[in-house]
Amino acid sequence: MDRPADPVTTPVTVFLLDDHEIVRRGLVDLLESHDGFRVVGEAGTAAEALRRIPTLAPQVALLDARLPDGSGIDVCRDVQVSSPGTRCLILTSYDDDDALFAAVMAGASGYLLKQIRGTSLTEAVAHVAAGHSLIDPALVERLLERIRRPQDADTADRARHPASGRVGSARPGSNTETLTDREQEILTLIAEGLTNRQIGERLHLAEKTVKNYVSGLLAKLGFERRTQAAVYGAQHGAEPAEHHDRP
Amino acid sequence: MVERVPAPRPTGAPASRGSAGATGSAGTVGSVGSVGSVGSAGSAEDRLRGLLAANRSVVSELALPAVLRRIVEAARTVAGARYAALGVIGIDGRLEQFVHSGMDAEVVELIGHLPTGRGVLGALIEEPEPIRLHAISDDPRSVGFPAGHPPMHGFLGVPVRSRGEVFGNLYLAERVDGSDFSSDDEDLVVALAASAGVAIENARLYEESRRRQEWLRASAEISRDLLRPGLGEQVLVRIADAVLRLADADVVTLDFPDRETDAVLTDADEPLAYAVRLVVGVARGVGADGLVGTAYRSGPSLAGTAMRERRVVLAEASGPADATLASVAEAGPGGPAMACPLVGEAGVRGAVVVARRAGSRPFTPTDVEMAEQLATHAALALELADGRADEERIAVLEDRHRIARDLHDHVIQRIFATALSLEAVTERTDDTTVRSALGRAVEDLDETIRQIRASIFELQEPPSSLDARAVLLEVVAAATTGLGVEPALTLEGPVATVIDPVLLHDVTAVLREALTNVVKHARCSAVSVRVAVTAEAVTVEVIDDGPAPRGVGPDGTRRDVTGTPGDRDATDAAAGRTTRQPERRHRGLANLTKRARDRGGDCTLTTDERETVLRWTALLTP
Repeated sequence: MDRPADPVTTPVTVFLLDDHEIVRRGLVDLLESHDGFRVVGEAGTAAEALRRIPTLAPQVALLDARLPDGSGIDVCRDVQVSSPGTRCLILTSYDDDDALFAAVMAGASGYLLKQIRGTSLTEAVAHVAAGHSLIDPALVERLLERIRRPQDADTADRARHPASGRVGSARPGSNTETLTDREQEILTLIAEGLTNRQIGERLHLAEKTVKNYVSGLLAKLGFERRTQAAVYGAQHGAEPAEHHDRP
Repeated sequence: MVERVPAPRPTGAPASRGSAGATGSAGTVGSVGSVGSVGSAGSAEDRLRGLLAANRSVVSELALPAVLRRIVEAARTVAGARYAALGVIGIDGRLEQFVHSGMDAEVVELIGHLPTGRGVLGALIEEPEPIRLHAISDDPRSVGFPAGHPPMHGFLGVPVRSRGEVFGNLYLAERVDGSDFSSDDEDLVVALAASAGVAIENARLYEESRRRQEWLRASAEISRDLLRPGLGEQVLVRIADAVLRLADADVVTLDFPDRETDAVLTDADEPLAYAVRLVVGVARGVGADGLVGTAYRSGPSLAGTAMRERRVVLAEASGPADATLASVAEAGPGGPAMACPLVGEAGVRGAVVVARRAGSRPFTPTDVEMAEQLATHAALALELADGRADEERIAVLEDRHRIARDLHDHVIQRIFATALSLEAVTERTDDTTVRSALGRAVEDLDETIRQIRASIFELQEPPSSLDARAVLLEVVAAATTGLGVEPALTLEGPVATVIDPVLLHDVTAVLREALTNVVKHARCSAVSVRVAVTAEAVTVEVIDDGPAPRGVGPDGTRRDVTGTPGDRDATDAAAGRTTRQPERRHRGLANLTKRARDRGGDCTLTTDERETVLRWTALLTP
């Protein structure tokens, strides 16, 4: 609606990573119906994307959060190092909370839900290409706050619903594993948008070690538990009910 | 042994003390050899032969009751007595059993009761040494005979020892030939008593090994049962039956904490464990039917103690605290009892309570060991049942995850892709009719995606009271059960991230109030709920297409209670709610407004011909 990109100047170059060919088709259709965008490459797997993005150096990469061979989060964190000029948007079919979480963890410039209305896709891509972030820092702060102190929520909730001891109901707590000091530290740096390499330099850790920490964080923060089906499900196969609720 | 012919011992001496304490020793046998020197009843050789025959008869039997009977008969024969009896001493020092021979059944009936161990019979219990008397009534300790008892003159009493303890006493009375019992008689009976002691011990060992074998067999059967799926509670009943039989108990129950408190007690629940109520889940034996479902306080009970201390607890005479014990005890004091905790992986799951009637023998270490092992089986059965239930739940969850994944991987992607293409086509056309038709199609597809997304959320997430999204879904569903139409709930923005528990409390209160009003007042055909969050604010909108509430909103002339005749609301109105309800709604609205203003927001209720919109906003604290 407002300036997607100046059609006279060079269009925004976009790379698409989504394992559904039909979705890539749709995205290409939509983006190319505007003069301001040009899809320079596509991939259906994380590995392919990691190979092609540094070569193509697109301005914006649209990364599906869940991939058969990994996650858009991992790809995004790697792309920031291998193709520093590329800005990433996480594309997901889940809800805002998971999308926001994924985008923050990925160090992406924003997220897009797989829906047409709401945030306009073309606007978002143009916005990000112009160097802006779609993520409100206040929201990131709230997200971190909840991650850091989940037990508050737990106790507050229990105080209000003392009678919620339904038999077989999940006992909250499976997603409230506490983070270590080091993990807290890394989470804060992730929220600041630092890449794995930058975090490694800051904390005197190997990049690979940071990567391991990030994976651990994803697992600990319930990303596995809840968004697993969205991101890791295909990769790990069906692993439901990992957290048995022992009443 | 038989060939030995020891020197004859002097006669006439009060042999009752002379062979003091002689039990199963060779010396006793030696004294048997002296029988011949008296020759008061047949030749010594005959009497020795008689003793040997008696010994053979006694030791050839293995079952304890038969052994006791043979001992009595043998003693009667060997001593040439008219009456013989064996009194078994119970834990209370009285005669627990009295096996007798020589008395007619009618006479026994006439006397009415068997001796309990008073008088001369009791003297032998207090001081286990042979007693030989010319006449029972001569002895100062005699308490006389009960009415109907035949006269008994000569008396010979000899203790029977087994495993170093006095098992009981052999009592003989009235020599057949009318004479007094001689010291030879005493020697013979002492010798027989020694064999009897061995026979009794054998019988007991045999009995124990037989019970252990039975126990093993029961264990094996239960193990097999455990591996068979679908037996369910039946396994617990079988275990209770096995305990009842093997522990020779009168009642056995499996007691569990009241389901409403907690299913399992862990270490952390120590204080709770005392207060928790136990319920009899399975009962076998005396009064079993009436016991199932009985609840009692765990605190002072045997079962409660066993569960708290995680060990077998024994009571010689139990109090009425346990329901199980109360049933055995009826009104009076209970008999011996024990409770074994059912220890599972996560904690103590209950207890097996085993009890005998008042006055019964206490449980032996073997009984305890056996009950403990069967309790382990019971705990295992419970764990297995849980495991199977878990498996089933996991299977359901797996299925739900698979459906959610399919919806996500295939359905949403296709709809989204189609919508994208439609959107692209829309961009290319200038035909307004086509554009608007396509726009509506895209909107429909978006709505479909939104609904699928909500379904996926519900399919995947076991309801957690922590997640704002789950709570909102639940609140809306619960508040509108009586509505007849399913409200459409739209969540916009990172709801779970932004809405903290305190704010969630307000938002749910707003939803409940608003939806309750809709249900009560508005005869609507559609309700939609929208909860939208940004980094700065949260907005709640409840929109219904029912008539506007009276006196509220710009169109104050509309009435909310004037339904057509027979209308349910009108009936309610006729029942006197007409004036109260709008006021209540006012109060509710005021309450919501206050909640909003406390958070720097506001609450408005607007209404027009088409719909009524309640809009509630709150600013987020930075």
